[in-house]
Amino acid sequence: MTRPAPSPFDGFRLLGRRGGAPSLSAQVQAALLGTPDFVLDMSDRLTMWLESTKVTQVSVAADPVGALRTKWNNAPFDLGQGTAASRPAWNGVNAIAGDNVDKMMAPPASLLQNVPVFFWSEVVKPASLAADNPIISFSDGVSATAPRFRLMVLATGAVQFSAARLDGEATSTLTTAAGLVAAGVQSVVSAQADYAGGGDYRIWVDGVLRANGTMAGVAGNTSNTPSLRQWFMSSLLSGGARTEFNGLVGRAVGAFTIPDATKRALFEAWVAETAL
Amino acid sequence: MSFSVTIPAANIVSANAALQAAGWGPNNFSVPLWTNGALPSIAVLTHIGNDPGFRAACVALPGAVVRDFGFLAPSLPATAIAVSGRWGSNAPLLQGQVTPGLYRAVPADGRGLWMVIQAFNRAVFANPLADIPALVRKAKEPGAVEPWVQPLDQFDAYFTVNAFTGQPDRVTHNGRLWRSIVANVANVWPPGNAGIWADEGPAP
Repeated sequence: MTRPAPSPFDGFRLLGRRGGAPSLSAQVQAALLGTPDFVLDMSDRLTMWLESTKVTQVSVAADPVGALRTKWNNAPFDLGQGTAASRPAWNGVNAIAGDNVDKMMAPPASLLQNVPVFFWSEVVKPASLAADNPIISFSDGVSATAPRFRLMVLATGAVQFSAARLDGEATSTLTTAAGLVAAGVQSVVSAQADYAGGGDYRIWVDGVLRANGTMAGVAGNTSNTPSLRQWFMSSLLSGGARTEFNGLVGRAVGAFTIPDATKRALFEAWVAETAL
Repeated sequence: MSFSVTIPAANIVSANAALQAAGWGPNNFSVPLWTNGALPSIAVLTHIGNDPGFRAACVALPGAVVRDFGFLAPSLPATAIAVSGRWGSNAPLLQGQVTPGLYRAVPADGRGLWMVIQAFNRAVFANPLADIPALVRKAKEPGAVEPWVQPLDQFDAYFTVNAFTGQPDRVTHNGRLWRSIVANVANVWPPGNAGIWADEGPAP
């Protein structure tokens, strides 16, 4: 094979890459460098497989997603779904889809074990608000329905965030005004819980702070126990009922540090970089 | 394309076992549909992606009916309509004039699922639901732990091997959690009878 002759523009191309603004992806990767993080990128098909055993990567729209791997920086986590009928479907571009019946994926149970803070930002587009649309949910280590961190869009279009630090402690819940999220419309939903600090927890919707407060309980890391239930796109509610996201969920950034306003805006811009 | 699969509820344990043995994971059939009794009569799975291998495995299941839908089309409502059934989440509230079918009790009636046997007006028949068994029966939600309700016959009885879950039914009664242990017969006795129910401690 013969290498093509160098183009006289090659040097400019290289200079252009060096001198141009880094992509949003590069900026997010750099912002997370050196910190534990949890990044999902459904626009990168190489992070998704048809099977939970990660044999064949997804390739076309409507492929079921049996495994979803986090990217960048740290040792990756896998979100898995071993049951074929419960696998979300890739939209072929930048999101996976749920149907409010049973589609969900399971992150590692130890992810929110003994952590001082957790931040989550994700772009979502519910197909319907007929029922609650859970985004991510980690229970505590004793009760499958007591949330350590649970973020969901309610049927009213409000966003609800529930958090608790220690197993058995009372759950604290924030709920925004209704109507902030609409069916068929893309929204960026972010939340953070400062377990070990002052207990501050808050919700942003599309970059605007919509609710904040102080968690109950004594400051400190979350309990050093694995979650009994940890679900992406699904949640167990008090009483034992389960509900699943109905619609598209796209890129997400999770962090175990509290991002400052600049970083948070960067993360929110990245998750919403391409329209769902 | 998306698809749904329905099978008789009596087949769910064997169908889930067959799919799991073939490498498709556990509990693919997870949604109960009620048609005309206190127990769910149909089990459903919905698949929203394109998975021909899994679809073929479902087609081969005894009693399976496969229905195809467009990508991301909500297949469960259409499937329920096709079999004249309802599932828990789409059961209407049991209030006002009701007709035979599955309903959710309003909070004042303790929530839970109930099967209306014949049409009536809840405003007229305002007794506690358990007191009007000719009109409405408590529906049994597979795997749910709910307060014990006196069964009238085998159609709303408890079972030591639930046809849907393959596990014993559990109930709460007098502040305790109970597990059905009586073998080979529909359990219509109240918790507390030795050899019928096992006491599993305080109710959660």
